[in-house]
Amino acid sequence: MHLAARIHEARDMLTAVEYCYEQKWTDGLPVVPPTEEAVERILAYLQRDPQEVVGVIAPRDGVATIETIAINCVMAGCKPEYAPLVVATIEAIAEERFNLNGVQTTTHGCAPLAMVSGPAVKTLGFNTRECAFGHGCRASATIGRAVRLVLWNIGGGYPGEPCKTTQGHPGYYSFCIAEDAENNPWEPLHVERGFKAEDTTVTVAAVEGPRLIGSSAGYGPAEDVIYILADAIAALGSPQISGGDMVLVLSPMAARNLANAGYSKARVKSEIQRLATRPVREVRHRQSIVETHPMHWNKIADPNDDDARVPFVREAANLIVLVAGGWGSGGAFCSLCAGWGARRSHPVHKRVEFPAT
Amino acid sequence: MTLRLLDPTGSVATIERGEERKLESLTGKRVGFVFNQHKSALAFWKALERAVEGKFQPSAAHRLYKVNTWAPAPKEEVDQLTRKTDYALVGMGA
Repeated sequence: MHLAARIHEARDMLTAVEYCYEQKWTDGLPVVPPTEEAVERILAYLQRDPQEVVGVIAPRDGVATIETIAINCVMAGCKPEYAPLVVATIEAIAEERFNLNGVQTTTHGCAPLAMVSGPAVKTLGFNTRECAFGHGCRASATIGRAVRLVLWNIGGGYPGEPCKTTQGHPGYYSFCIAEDAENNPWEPLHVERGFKAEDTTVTVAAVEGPRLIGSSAGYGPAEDVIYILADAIAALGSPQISGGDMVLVLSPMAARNLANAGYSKARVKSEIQRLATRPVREVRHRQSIVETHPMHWNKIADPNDDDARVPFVREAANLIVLVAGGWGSGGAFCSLCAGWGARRSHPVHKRVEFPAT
Repeated sequence: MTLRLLDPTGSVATIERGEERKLESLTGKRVGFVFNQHKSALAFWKALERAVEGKFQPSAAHRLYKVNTWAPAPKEEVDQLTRKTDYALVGMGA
């Protein structure tokens, strides 16, 4: 197998781990040294030309090939069968509409969140229950980690220069979640977005870290749950003040509450859109984009009318709704990952191409 | 046993650049102003435009103020500006 990557040598495993730090091949966490043998194992699984270009990764404009992605998959600890999901995620973030250069360099704190939907969630062993965003599952941890290492190593996304995010968030290390098909009372995300039920897809959105929402779905009626979710979105400090896409992860209990009350997913979105508003008298306190800007809220609400409402969900389609998480208690904690704001980055959906067996 | 590690950074994409011509002077030339309309740079950009127009007396000034502050300007708009101008100032507030 011909590989293009430059070869480095280290005398043993511990030296290799330190060498990766010295070469700035990691963002702080240790990595698995990418030996030829381990990389070739992933390439053999993928059955694709190692030099096939998957995308150009901003801001460095590094060329992500199947080979370089496989190298970063090894460093992240991916099993070979996880690699197709990493490849699909990289294809997605390299699309122009995702605006990766902006995502990587903005002062905002957004990071690409990979959302997996479809049969591979189960076959690859993703955790969709307790701690769905967090630790405890190799698939989501290492796939998210591989994506970050690609952004770091191929994209040159180093904090300070050129990446200006003032806060960042823990999802910068690894940011991947999978949809819980069994507890989802509605159509799964990939079907909603036009893919076949038997497909597995990755949806990527540039979002903030998850903010917990106590929806109280175990105690209250659906109308209250919707009201609480909408209230969480309409925060003055949120970039959602200028609209744009966001991710709402409903706990199974919250989703069940809403579905039992007759809510479809579309109705959940439209009701949240209706309620996630703030009056002009409050919104006025948030200085953000220049008033003449076409995306300023004054284009959709009368700035001279204190009682006019400014919607934080401009279009229902801006809401990506997933079902995941533990059943929990009556608090039915959900998560909101606010986006980067209006039209700055658009979510991208990709079907995962698995090798022929 | 020596371990052979593969470099994870890969190559950098390159862009073919056309022939560049040097302007002997900016005076009287056609200027383009490309601005991302970021609030933090609004006052500075206005002042800069005034200063450039005052000092170099351009024969024409064309403005490309991006509708989407955070994304690249559409290629067709950039190409159009390139055809109409001798030089351009690009400003990004952030």
